[in-house]
Amino acid sequence: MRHDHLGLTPSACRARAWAGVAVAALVAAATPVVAGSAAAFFDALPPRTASMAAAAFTPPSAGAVTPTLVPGGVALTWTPSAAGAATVTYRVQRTDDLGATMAVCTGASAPTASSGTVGCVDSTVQPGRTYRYVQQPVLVRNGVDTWSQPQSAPSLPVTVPTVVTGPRFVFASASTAATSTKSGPVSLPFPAGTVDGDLLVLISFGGRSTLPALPVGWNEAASLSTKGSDASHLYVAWRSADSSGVATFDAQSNAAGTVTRLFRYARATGVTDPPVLAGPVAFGVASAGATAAPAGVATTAASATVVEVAAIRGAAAIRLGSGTLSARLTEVVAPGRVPLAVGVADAFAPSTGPSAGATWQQDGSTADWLWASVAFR
Amino acid sequence: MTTRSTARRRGRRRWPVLALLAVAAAGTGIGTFSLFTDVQTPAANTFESGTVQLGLGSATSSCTVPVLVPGDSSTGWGSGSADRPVCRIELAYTGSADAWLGVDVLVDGAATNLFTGGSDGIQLKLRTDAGVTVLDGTAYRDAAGTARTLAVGTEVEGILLADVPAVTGDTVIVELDYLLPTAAPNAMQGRDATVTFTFRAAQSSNQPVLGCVAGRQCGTITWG
Repeated sequence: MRHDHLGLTPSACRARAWAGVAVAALVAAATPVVAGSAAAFFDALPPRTASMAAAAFTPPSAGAVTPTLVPGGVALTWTPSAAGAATVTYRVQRTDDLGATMAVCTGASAPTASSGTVGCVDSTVQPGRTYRYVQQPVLVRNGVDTWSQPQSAPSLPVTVPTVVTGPRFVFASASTAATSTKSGPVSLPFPAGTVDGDLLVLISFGGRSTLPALPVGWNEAASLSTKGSDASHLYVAWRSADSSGVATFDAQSNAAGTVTRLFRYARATGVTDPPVLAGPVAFGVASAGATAAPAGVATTAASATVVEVAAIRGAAAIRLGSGTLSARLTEVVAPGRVPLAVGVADAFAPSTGPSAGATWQQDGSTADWLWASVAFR
Repeated sequence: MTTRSTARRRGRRRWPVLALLAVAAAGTGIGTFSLFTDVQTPAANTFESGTVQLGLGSATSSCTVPVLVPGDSSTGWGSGSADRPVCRIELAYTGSADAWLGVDVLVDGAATNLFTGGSDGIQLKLRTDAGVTVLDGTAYRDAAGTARTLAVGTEVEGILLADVPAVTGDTVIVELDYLLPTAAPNAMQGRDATVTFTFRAAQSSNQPVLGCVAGRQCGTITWG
């Protein structure tokens, strides 16, 4: 606290005393201000400060993109950027060998962070093209692009193979079995790792002749059944995977039981087209016996993948016999009162024309076989 | 803080008495020389002045602002993220004499400051709990009520916080809200700014504000 002119100065006091106004002077001395003076009491707090700082991107330069060929596209990874606690968004661009530039890794394919890196897959590449990639960290606030870093330096070039020498769709995984003993829909999550554009094949086998309905979004490949005391049905459908992530399927089951699985075939590197049938579907019923030899399928396009299914009710075991197909599943399950044996195998058909089927073997059943062969590319 | 001004004026007290006696003698005993003498034990007279004293109340916050990106704002701003802490200062007036309350504002920092004085830099709102706006965006108001832009490095002095004097026990809560607008360009990255407030109290007795208005500068008050 500072005080200016707290009371009368000695000279002023004396002057007033000699004038005989001592009482008035004493009264005035009790107030903080002398009449006619600008002086006053005052006080001030120590200054209070508010320091504000803006964030800055770290590291100071956007990390370069590392491209890697993977089935179905080019995987891109880079070192993440940070700006305070804000969420960083990345804009990814590619430039091809013709000079065309376009944004990639958008929407559902947007980059995600994992284990200290950020990455995405460019699944829109074209065979025979060479690409370079850049990425740019951006802060998006309320839908508005605000701060950004300069684009990263261009990546090393990556060239997508011109000719697909192997199968265009390669077996990747199968879902867990969904079983039921009554009619009504069941949910079939897509197999782990499914990405948009993968080929999904639904295979359902049941101990009843009633046929399932086609699930929404799927294409029916084969639907056949046998009647009588050893009734059964085999149902095969397929689709190009999307982001829905799950199939809803009613196998029209009864107490005899039904088993259903999804099989995932991933796109090979350089394949950008969605899966299509590569020829007419072959299917039929084979007479009861220890073995069955489904007919092959005549493919109408090269680099096809032939998927063959054999199923039989009441078997104690099923296995792949002779042939060039690769077994993907052989199982016997009994979700209801009847054992259900299913075998799935596939083969690469490099060129068009007939492809041979496999021979399947079973133990213990006197029922007829059901089978189907479907080619995709 | 308590301030006392105590005047013990034994010598001074004697002078008026002697003067009065002299005048009386001159008027009643012309031509004679009589000498009156008296010795009085002087009584002690103590005078206490009022005090002007300002302190901080318990609602005062530390005013630590996290690093900002465009769109960040304090909870009281009304737009933006509205999730950053408000700077809150509670003024507690404890003086015995009524006083005007005011504030000086200084925006400081590097030449490339987060405060630009425009819509692309940090925006500030300084308001009291009585609804008086001291800073709005980048501007304060001068004594005439004209909005003027704060300039980095130039202190704005004596903005009146209330139209009525504070009395003992009064509290005034002053809050600083802020926004870094989404229009802040890339060049703002890494910049900073420091806003300094000096809160003042000045006696109101014998010091009228003469037309000053709360929320504006007041030059008729001697702030210190």
